[in-house]
Amino acid sequence: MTGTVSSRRRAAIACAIACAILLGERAAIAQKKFLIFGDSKVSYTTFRDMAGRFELEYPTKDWGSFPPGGSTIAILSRNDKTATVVIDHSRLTEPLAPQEITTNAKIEIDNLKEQQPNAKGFTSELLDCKAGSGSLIRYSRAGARGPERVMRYSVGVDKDLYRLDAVVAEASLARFEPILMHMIQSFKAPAGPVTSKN
Amino acid sequence: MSKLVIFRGDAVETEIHLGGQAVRIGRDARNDVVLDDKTVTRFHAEVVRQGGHYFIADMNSRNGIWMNKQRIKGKAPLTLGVPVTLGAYELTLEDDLSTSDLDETPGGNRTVVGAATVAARDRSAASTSGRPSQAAAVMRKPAVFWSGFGLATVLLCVVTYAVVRRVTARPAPPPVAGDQAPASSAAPPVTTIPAPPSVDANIVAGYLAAARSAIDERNYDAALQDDILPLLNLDPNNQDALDLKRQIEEAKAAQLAPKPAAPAPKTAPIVEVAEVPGIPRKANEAAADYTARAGRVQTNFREAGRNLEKQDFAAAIPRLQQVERDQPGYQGVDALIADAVAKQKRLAEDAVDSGQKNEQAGKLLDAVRWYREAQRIDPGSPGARDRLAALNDRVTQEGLDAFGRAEVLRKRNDNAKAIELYKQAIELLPATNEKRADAMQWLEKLKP
Repeated sequence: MTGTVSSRRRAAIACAIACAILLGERAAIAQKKFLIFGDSKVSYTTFRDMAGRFELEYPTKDWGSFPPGGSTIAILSRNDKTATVVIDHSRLTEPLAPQEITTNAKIEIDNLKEQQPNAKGFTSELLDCKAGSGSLIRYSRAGARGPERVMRYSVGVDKDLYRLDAVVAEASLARFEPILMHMIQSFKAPAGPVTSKN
Repeated sequence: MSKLVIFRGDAVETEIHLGGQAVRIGRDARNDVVLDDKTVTRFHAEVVRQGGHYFIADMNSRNGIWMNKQRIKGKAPLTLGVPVTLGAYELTLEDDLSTSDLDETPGGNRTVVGAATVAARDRSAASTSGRPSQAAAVMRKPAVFWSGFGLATVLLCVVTYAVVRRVTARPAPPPVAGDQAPASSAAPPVTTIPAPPSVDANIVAGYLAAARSAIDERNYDAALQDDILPLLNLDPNNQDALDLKRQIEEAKAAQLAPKPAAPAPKTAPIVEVAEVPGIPRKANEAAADYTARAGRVQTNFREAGRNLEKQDFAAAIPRLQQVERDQPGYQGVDALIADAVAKQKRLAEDAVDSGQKNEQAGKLLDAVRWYREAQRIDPGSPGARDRLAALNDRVTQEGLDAFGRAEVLRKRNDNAKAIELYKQAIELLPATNEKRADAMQWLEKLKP
């Protein structure tokens, strides 16, 4: 008798554990399917440069591209302007060596400090994207609508230097930073021209 | 149009309106401007106009022409307000608002300047503005002039006596050696090169020069009567004058003595050589040796003065030491050496202090510059040497960083900043570092 009760209890506990595991798995799938939490809820579209110089992914919903000018080759922004990514391009006389990425970041910071004396909180780190290794600089500044957080990603691809300036209101940083990081890391710059499929 | 104003001491002797013709100046009556003084050679100088500018040329004069304490060799441009010394006279080129000049009075505008002073003039205005005061004309009042002249003569005698005594106690420099003080305004007075000799000393030098000239021409009576005796009247103890007097007496005695039947076979000929003031000829010193030594003393002393002006003590002190070896006590050279060494040490220490302050502030390049400046001032400065040695690794790292940044900036087409950083790298990296050579190559390529 005692042995039978004991085995039933064991079976019930095992069943409860199995249900819990299955429920958890379903919950994760549900979160992913119904876009309940975080980054995983965003679906992305690939933006391809008309000249085929680069491509990157941007959110399908609520984002669009705007006409660039000068050395700015693309502007992608949320429709409500709470987050923007500006892509800038310049030519190098020689490709940057891998060990020069850090030096390039220091020069970028110097230039930013010179151009934006009120900017503060500069940090830099190395970050890989689909185009290769680059440097990511983060800093804060006073924007037209209040404090802003800027992430500048610089990456050299052969003799091309790309700068991605991702700007977001400080208050919306937690919400949009993952999206901006996804856009940066999806940046891909072919060495040669590619067929435009934009 | 310009004019040449001729001063003697503080007084204007005359003014010459310059035109297109050359103006010859000298003691000889055939000159356009006759300066009747023994410090002036018969044909001393010539002022010519070329390409809209006036030049003064030395006609191989004995005492030379001096501008900014330097003897003019050949020809030099005249600058408005900058005095040129010619014997006991000073010539200054000035703007001339009047219409007369030598061109308009051909052949008839000879100016003779003798001992008499034409007009007193305010030199202080001239020294501040570069042009003499126009008040001179007003001051041509004979009564005032002659009473002033009398008083000035008495004072001149007293001052001359005192100055000549002092000059003979410590040999006076020739007019050539009147090098000026180092440029630094902060320099203590003890470290300056002595000021140029006064006019009184020039007069003494003029008498001596004229006497030597007459002796060279074997005109012993003229030398004695016209030069030596008047000078000894002014300064009975003037050793140079006494020496020349003795020399004249010996020469006259030799002239009177009967010539030997045959010259002594192994006696070296007596070579007369004019002594440079302040550099007496040693007993038994050959003329060539004396000339070489005197030239060395003067050159080294003059160059040392220039080096001190540039605060180049490392170059100045050895020269002064050489002067001291060649002619001990020349122009107070021993005191000059001591002062220069003290100033060198102090400036080097100041530079090291500045370097340490920059080092503490994290300005490594500026610190290194200061330490190197200290080493330039005093190559043996232990403070600078030790600090540079301690910074060696950091300096090299800083140089490599500068080079790395320059490389990236160059690749980014920011050549202006790249050039600056290549320069820093060259300054910071040791000569043996290969990056330094690369930096120099890139600098050469990028230079506009």
